[in-house]
This record gives sequence, structure tokens and C-alpha cells, in this order.
Amino acid sequence: MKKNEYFLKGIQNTDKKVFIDIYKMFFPKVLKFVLNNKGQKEDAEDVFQKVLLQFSARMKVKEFTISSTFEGYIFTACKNLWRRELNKNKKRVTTDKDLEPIYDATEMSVSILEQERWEIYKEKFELLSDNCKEVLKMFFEKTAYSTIVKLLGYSSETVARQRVFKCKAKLTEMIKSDSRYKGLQTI
Amino acid sequence: MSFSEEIYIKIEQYLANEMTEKDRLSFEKEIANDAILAEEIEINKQLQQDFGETPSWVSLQVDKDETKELESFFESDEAAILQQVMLEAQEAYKDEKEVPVFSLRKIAPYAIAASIALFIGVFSLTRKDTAEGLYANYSGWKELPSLTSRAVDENKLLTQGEVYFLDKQYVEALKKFESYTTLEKNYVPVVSLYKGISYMEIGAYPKAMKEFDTLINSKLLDSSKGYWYKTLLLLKQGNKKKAIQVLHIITSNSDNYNYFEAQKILKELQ
Repeated sequence: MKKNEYFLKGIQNTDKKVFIDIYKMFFPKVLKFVLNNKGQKEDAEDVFQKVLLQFSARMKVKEFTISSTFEGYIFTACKNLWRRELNKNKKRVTTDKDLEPIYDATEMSVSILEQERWEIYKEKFELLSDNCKEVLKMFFEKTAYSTIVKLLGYSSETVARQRVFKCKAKLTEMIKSDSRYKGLQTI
Repeated sequence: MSFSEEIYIKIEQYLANEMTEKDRLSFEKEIANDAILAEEIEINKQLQQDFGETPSWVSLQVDKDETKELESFFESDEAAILQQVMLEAQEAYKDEKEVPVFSLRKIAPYAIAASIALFIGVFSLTRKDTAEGLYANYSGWKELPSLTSRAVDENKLLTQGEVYFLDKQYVEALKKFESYTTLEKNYVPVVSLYKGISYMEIGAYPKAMKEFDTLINSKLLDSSKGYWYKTLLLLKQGNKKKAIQVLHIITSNSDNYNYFEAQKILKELQ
């Protein structure tokens, strides 16, 4: 297994050989994910390229490094981006096959900030107790309180509700007190 | 600072769109007067988007200052080159994937077919080797005239670019050359050559081709050099057939750059 350093250095130096390796090693998994989630092969290619470009931009502009594995980063970022694109209901602009896709600089930049925000949320979320994580996950997935009561064994919906509020308060508190979050605030 | 349970219930109902019109309006008034409550709602909304299912995504609205640096990166030549290299990598990946793979277990019944395939494989390999070998022979770039003091170069972009070029740091070199071309309106054939070769070296073939074609079409004194480098580009891509076509153009006029070399290569390829 190739190390993070190999990929990071290759991206830094715009090394085509390393990019080919990145496609070989990580693209099939992303392709599978996109195909399983209402996407086409072209969508997967588009998302993959955007994520790689955004990754390079973060490295070059923000001196960003990753704490996870490169593979983990790429896959999660692709997943997040594809979810966002799906939810934006944006129609893919079909361009001439010979033309390079030109990405909108603002859109790409906002997308990076969205990814950064997601990373802060995820990091804070992981700091919660297992029980909080479990109940919040269900809550965010819009599980009905009656189901949460049954699955997690709470005595009543009121208790489950209180638990959700407490966990959510803790999470938002942690997010708000992170200095990185301040830079990502909406206007 | 946390809120009362009552407020949390309201937040939840508000975000789920479960409030009556009257309650919603009064709650919105509350939000407008309470920055902390507004922030809480915003985070809740975002959490819902990031972790849950949302029918429609609301893009992050950001302060322009936050994205200024990123945006200028995406608009830079560096990003354009990067994107080009990535596209090339994607194509190379696709090409590689399309090569059929033989499973050992299945080979036996198809021994004959397999050996034919192997023969073709070896054959095309040698053919590719010739093309690539030729490219290697001619890609020392020693013949290129130095860029120093050849053209107006107030910002020393060409000098810096050439240093990178000689050091084989083609991406860095391209950044300088592209900036030069943006600033300098007049077409300078030799800069085009350096650019084309740099693109060729990093594998950005369409961009390289564009530079060489521009040179050819410029009809300037050096334009026949365009044919020569186009030949090298085609050889590097293993496109023997097209390379031969271009070589024929070179050998059709003895004034053309590298006329004799072109004749030599033609013999080797045919």
C-alpha cells in the first residue's frame, strides 16, 4: 500500500504518473458508489476530478494536510460532494466531449469550505459519547421518536427527546467554540 | 450556552416545517432579535444537511474574502495545467483498463487464441518501442535556443522559465511561460516551442499539440519547427501512422527544419 506522502508529493508536483495511480487505486470505489446512488459514470468522473482539484487547492492555498489516509479522505470527500450535487438537483451540463470541463471558481471554493465544515462537524461528532452518537445519527436520519424509543430502549418519547436535545446542545456548543468554525460562518 | 427544552422543540419544529403560520412568524421574530438563537438554528440546519437527508441543498453562503485566495487559485494557470494533467491521467487510466486481461485458468482452452493475442501484443510492443525510442533519442532539447535576452522580458519570466525548463521542472516552467504569454501580446515562436515541449513532457498532449499547430500556422520563419516537434509528440504518443504523415510534410521541402533527420526517421519507421 502506497503511503500518503507518495500521493501528496505527486499532487504537489503535478505528477501525471501519480495521478494515474490515484485513478487506478481509488476511482473504482468512487464509481461504484456513484452508480449505486443515482449517478452515471460521467458523474463519477466529474466528482472525482473536482475532489482532486479541490484537494490540490487546499494543499496549495491553505497548507492543508490530512490526518486520515489519503484513500479515506478522497472517498469521503467524493461521497460528500456527490450527495451535495444530488441534493442541489443541479442538472449536469453536458459539454462537448472534446472540451475540457471548466469548473466555476466560486463554486469550487464554496465546495471546499463545505467540505471543511463537514470535517469540523465530523470531528466534534466523534468526540460525543457512543450513546449520543447513536441517538443523534437516528435523529439526523429523521427516524421517528417512537422508533428511537423502541430501538434504544428509552422509557418514553419525552426521555428520548431530552436525550437528543442534550446531545445536540453539546455538539453545537463544541462546534461554536472551535475557532475554525468562525471562519466558515455564513453571512 | 444552551437553551431551554421548549426552545429546542421549537427549533426542531421550525426546521421540520411543522409550525403553524402564526407560530412560525412569531418564532422568526424571535430569531431576528437573538443572534445566538440564529446561530444555533444555522448550525442545526447545517448538521441536518451534513449528516442527514435533505430534500434540497442550500449552498453555503460565504464572505467573498474567505474564498478569494481559493478562487484565484482555480483561475490560475497552475490550476489549468493541473486539470489538464488530471484529464490526461484519467484518459491513460481508461486506456489501460481496456487492455484485456487473461485469467490463467481460462487460458488452456484458448491456447491458440491466446498465443495469437500474445503475438500481437509483442508485435505492438516492439512497434511502440521504436516510436518511444526515437522520441528518447531526440528529446534532449539541446537544440533549443536560449530564451535569455531573445525577447522583451521585463519581468524576467522567460529567464526564470528557462531555468526551470533546464531543470526539468516543467510545471513551474509553464507557470512562467503562461504568465509571459498573458502579458506579452505579440506571438513569440520560440516561447511557443518551450511551452509545447513542456506540455509534452508532463503528458498534456492536446495542449502541446495546440502550441505546435499554432506555430505551424503562424507561417513565420520558424514555423517548420512546428512539424518537427509535432512528429516527436506523435512518436511519444506511439502514433506511428500520423508521425509518418507529418514526416512526409517535412521531407517535401528541403528548407524545412531537420529535413535530413526526418528522412532518416522515415526510413527507420517504414
